[in-house]
Formats: sequence, structure tokens, C-alpha cells
Amino acid sequence: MVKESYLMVDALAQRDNTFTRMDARVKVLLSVLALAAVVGLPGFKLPLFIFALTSALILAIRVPFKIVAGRMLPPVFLGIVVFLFMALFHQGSQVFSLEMLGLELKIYGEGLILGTTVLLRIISSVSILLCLSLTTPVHELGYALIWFHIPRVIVEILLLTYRYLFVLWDEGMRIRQAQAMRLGYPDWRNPAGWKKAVNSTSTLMAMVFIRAYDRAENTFSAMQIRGYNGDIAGQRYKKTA
Amino acid sequence: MHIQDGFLVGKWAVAWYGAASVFIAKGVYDITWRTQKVMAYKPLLGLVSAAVFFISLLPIPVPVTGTSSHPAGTPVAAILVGPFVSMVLAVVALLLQALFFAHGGLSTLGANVFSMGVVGSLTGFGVFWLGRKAGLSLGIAAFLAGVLGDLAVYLSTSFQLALGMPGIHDQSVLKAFLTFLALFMPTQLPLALLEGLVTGGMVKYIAKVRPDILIKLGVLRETDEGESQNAENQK
Amino acid sequence: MIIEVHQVQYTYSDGTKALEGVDFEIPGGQFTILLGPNGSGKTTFFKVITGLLNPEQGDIKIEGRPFREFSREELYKRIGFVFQDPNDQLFAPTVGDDVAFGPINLKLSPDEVSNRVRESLEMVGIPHLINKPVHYLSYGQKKRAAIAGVLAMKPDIIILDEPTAGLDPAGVREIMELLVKLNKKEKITILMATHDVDLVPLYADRIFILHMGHILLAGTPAEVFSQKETVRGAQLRLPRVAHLAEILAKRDHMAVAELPLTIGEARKMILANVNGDVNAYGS
Repeated sequence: MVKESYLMVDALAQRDNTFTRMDARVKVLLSVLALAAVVGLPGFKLPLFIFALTSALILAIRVPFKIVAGRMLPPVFLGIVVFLFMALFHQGSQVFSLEMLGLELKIYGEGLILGTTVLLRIISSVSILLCLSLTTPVHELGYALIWFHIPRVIVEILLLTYRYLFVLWDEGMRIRQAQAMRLGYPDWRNPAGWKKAVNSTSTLMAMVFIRAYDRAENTFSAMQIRGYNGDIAGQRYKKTA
Repeated sequence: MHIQDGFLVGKWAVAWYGAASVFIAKGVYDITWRTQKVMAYKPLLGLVSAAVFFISLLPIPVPVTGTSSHPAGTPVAAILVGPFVSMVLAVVALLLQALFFAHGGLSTLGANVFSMGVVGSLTGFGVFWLGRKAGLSLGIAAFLAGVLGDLAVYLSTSFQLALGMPGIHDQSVLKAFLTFLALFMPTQLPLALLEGLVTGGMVKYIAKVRPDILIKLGVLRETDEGESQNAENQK
Repeated sequence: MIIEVHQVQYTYSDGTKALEGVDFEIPGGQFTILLGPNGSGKTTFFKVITGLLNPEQGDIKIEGRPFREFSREELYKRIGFVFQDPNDQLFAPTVGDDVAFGPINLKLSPDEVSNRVRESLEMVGIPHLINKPVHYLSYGQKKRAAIAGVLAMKPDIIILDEPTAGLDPAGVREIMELLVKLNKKEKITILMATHDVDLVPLYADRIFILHMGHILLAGTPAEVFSQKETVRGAQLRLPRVAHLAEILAKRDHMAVAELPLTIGEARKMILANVNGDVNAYGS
């Protein structure tokens, strides 16, 4: 589930197409501008327009429908909840002072428009980020962020996290399977089973943490061997002489 | 619990970015400063960050229902690497979550970093520190840090939602806040308890098998004989 | 001697004595294998001679100069170290970025950095993977990428901790052939650790057996494996063909003048016995 999404999005960003070839800095800039417009400007026409645009892009680079649905559905569901909530909330908050049926209807309409706007904002901002992540490998994104003067430290930790999540994931899943084979995760609808499962989970977390800690020591040594001087992210975008 | 991209109105999105960046600046400064003294610090944080991110993706079992939920990981990160550095790890985790799973987002990153990273770390770390001062055992202090850290995130997120909801009028912020609190209660209360349990369990387990790590990270002092002694005995 | 080690001792903070007075020296240009069972101190020894761990006692000289005279930069331009687990070593998101890490730290120009990256990847045979994220690589490819990262520093000596561990037979052969190529063509001194005794006679000019923090035996493969009982006492064994020849000699009274260590040598020995010309081989 989680792993598949992570891997699939990552793999799709590695493909070769017009959009993956585009400079990551341009993509970051466009995404941020589009997001700002969606969130900052009133009305629902712009979000709708941007959603149409991003959908076209997603279609153009042929993303499997499952991925799009998997990523879009939870936020859309949330958006619908928000939409209903807004309509009801607006009605509810005003109904206190209002008694006339006609006016009540008008306020309901206001909530409806607002709800639609928010729903569209959510959908289109999710689709903007989807486009960005489906066309930009994380390391490209990281180097672009450095170029935009996001503190190097943050990007360096981001890149190490991205790199080692794959390694820790495999290790963690091996531990989890080993636990499961020795009944570490029984049916947790009953209290005893649940207690056991929570115990197994926290043990697994601790073990992954310990392994990460020990690995860090070796990684540091490996960096030292190659002249590490405190800088990890290198020198992308520095033009050659 | 993250605020979905597109939900906050522009001015609040920007305001939370501003509020969070003050704390993040402190975290970034701390890391840079420590890296200059101990170069191994940066790779260590990278690996710790990956571990915490992994932890936040693990399903933890919710009792009775048979379903599972995901921990935030912030309280335990704050305990292990300190509150300000843990805020930087939260930025990284939230950014990756936004990119890969569409949880949270970019326009709400500031708000989410503030609630999960800043409030979560400060509460988690503060509770742990006070608990230890008050003489609580490692496991209990970490448990409380997990529970209260999560509750604080839940409260601040509800507050942010109420403030930043589009079309809201000032007089109804409180009402909206209470509504959001009520709305998320059924998922957030059990989650806080679970976060506490796994945080406590995790820290206790590390103290048992590798007390040296906790000593190096400054979570345990070498003089905390009781803790290490217990660990030795349980081996 | 390119590396000289005299009476080196190392004890871990938990009191484990990993090295108890190791004497060791290798001449430049050779292919040396450090043979030792698990826990014999191989990794510790390598970390000590690469300056990652400080021995509490003993002298180390590189190219005749005492260790402490070297700055880190000077040292790592001479010695490269490849870790057993390539995941420890490959921390950058892509292969190219990882290989570039060393050259960038040497403050080379961007052109020179990219030249070295390309050259190194070509040497290890994975130039096409330059932009690949590391997590898409197979285990064998990761090992190659890790070696490339060290090659990009242009070291005179490359030290490898268990480079064949975890590889399938074809992978082992490929990595070993790569190392031989680096040794013969690029004139890089190779020092590697393994506990795979069958590999030793095929590739090593010289071998050392490390056991419980001591160098137990040193010499050419033939010299070392002639000390059968000492080898076995160190939780190791003879190469399979040598063991076979030993049995043939003892039980079947075959004439074995000199213990064969490789298939080729064994073949000669057997052919000589079959043809009744015992003196034709080994001389």
C-alpha cells in the first residue's frame, strides 16, 4: 500500500518524457505559482482550469489510472466531507438569527459556492503536486530546492531520508515478517492480541532505529574515506568553466 | 493529522509558513553548528530521519476495531534528537508525504510543520523532560510525551483549521474549533494513546538492548544507573 | 612496502580486543587477500589501516611514511576503502552523484569531476547507470558503484571488505575479474578480505590469515596452505581441490608432490598420475 505508492510514484518520475526532461527548477517554480494562484485567488474557475490542465498532463504522460485514483481519491473524499460540512455549517451558524425560509436558502447557496471552491482547490492542488512528483525525481527536486535557497541542511537530510528509506524499509519488513511468523501480530480485536501487536510494533520500531543508528556510523566512515568535509549535497547547477 | 492542500486560505497559509520558519531556522542553525563540531552528525540525522519517517508509515493496531493507524513519530524524534532538530525532520517527512502520498501538501506545509513539527516536538520533548525531572521512568515519560504530544498536534491542527477555513467569520472561530475537535475526536484520541504506547515501548526497548545509543544522544545520562542496570539484568 | 603495519592493537570501548599486535606488510602492485573467519578482526584491521579507527598501540606506514604525517586528504588520495555493505557507502540519491562525492571534496573543477565520474563508471562497467537512483540497482551493481566511488579518488591502494559477500557465483567471478583488471591494468594495489578460501589461489599473489586478532600465517597461497593444520585451526579450510588431493594421496595412494590449489593444478596432477608420469608436473 504505502510502499507501492512510494515506489510507483518514484518509478514513474524516472521515466523519460518531455516533462521529466524539463528543468526541475522550472517545474518547482510553476508548481508553486500554480498553487499560490489556486489558494490565493478567489473563485473556482481558476482551480477548475488548473485541474483541467494538470489532468491533461497526467493523461499525456500516461500514468496508470490506479496511481492517479489512489492519490486523488482520499483528498477528494476529504474535499467532499469539507464541502458538505461547509454547506451545513454555514446554514447552521446563521439559522440561529434567521427565521425566514427564503433567506436561509440564499445562505445555503453561499455555502454551496464556498464548498465547491474549497473542493476544487483541494483537487487542483493535489493534482499540481501529483504532476510535480510524477515528473521530478526527488534528487532533482532537492537540487532545485537548494538553488532556490532552501537551507542545504534540510535538503541534505531530505536526500538521505529518501535514499535510506528504501534500505530501512526492506530491513523493517524482514523483521516484521520474522515477527509475524512467530505470531507477533495475532488478531488484535481481542485485548491480549492487541497488546502483543502493539509490543511487536514498538520493538520493530526500536530495531529499525537501532539499525539506522549503526548504519549511520558506517555511512559516515564511507564519507570520510572520500574526503567528507561537512557538505553532502554537492554542486549541481554550478556551470562548468 | 495533516491539513490538506487547498484548504487553508492564502493569508493563513503564508502566516503559518512565517511562524514555522522561525523555529525551523533555529533547528537548521543547531544542525549546522553541531555538524561543524561533529561531522558525523549530519549522516546520523539523515538515518534517524529515515527511521522516523519509516516509523510514521508503519501501521499500528487500533484495539477493538481491528483496523490500524499511523503514528506521527514526532514525539519520539523530539525525545531522541531534541525538539528543534526534530522540527527539521518533520519538514522533511511532511514534504515527502506530500509528494508521495498526497498527505498534507505544499501550501499547507507551513501550517502542518507548525502543528506537527513545532507544537508536537515542543510538547513531546517538554513532557518527557518534565517527566524525567519528576522522577518518572523512561518508558512512562516517553509514553506521556507520545500521548500529550499527539493531543497537542490534534488541538493545534483543529485550531488552524478553524482559523484558516475559507469564508469564516471571526465570531465563529471558537465554534468552528470545537466542531473540528469533535469531528476528529474519534480518530485522534485512540491515536494519541497508541502513539504514547509505541513511543514508550520503543524508547524502553532501545534502553534495554542499546543504552549506549541513548547515552550518546543525551537521552540517558551515564549516571542513570538504574536504567542501564535494569537493561543489563533483563539481558 | 606500500603498507607496513607493526604491532597494531585495537580494543573496542566495550573491552573487546579486536587486534592484538598485528604485523603486516605488503609491497605495492600486488593482489593480496586477507583470509579470516567471521569475527577475526578483518573489518577492524581495515578500519585501522585506513585511519577510520585509531589503534591504541602500533605503527602504520604508507609508502614508507608514518601515518600521522598524512593529512586526511593526502591519505584518501592514496587509499580507498570499499565497505562490505554497499548500502553503507552509497548515500547519494543517484550513482553519478555518489561517485562525484569524492572528486568534489578534492575541490576538482566541475569538468574534472564529471570526467572522473565517467571514467570510474566505465572502469567498473556501469557507465549507463550514471543517472539511476541507487535503490534501482541490483546488489552486484551497487558493489560496482561503490568501487567506482572509491576509484574516482584515483587511489594507489584499494582495500575491500568482503567484496564477494552476498553475490551469486557469476557475480563473484565478475567482481573478482574487475579487481584483477584494476590490479593489472591500472596498477592499483588490491587488498581484500574474504573467508572464501577457494577464491584465494585463483587471484592472490599473497595471502594473510588473520585469526583472533593475530596474523597467523603469511605468504604465497602455496606456502600458506601447506600449513594444513594451522589453516584448519583458524576456522578455515583448504581449497576444495587441495582437500580432494589430500584424500586421494592418503586413501588412494595417488602421488601428490605438491598440493594443488586450483582446478588447473589438480588436473595436471591427476593427468600425471593417470599417465604414470609423476615427475612431469610440479616442476
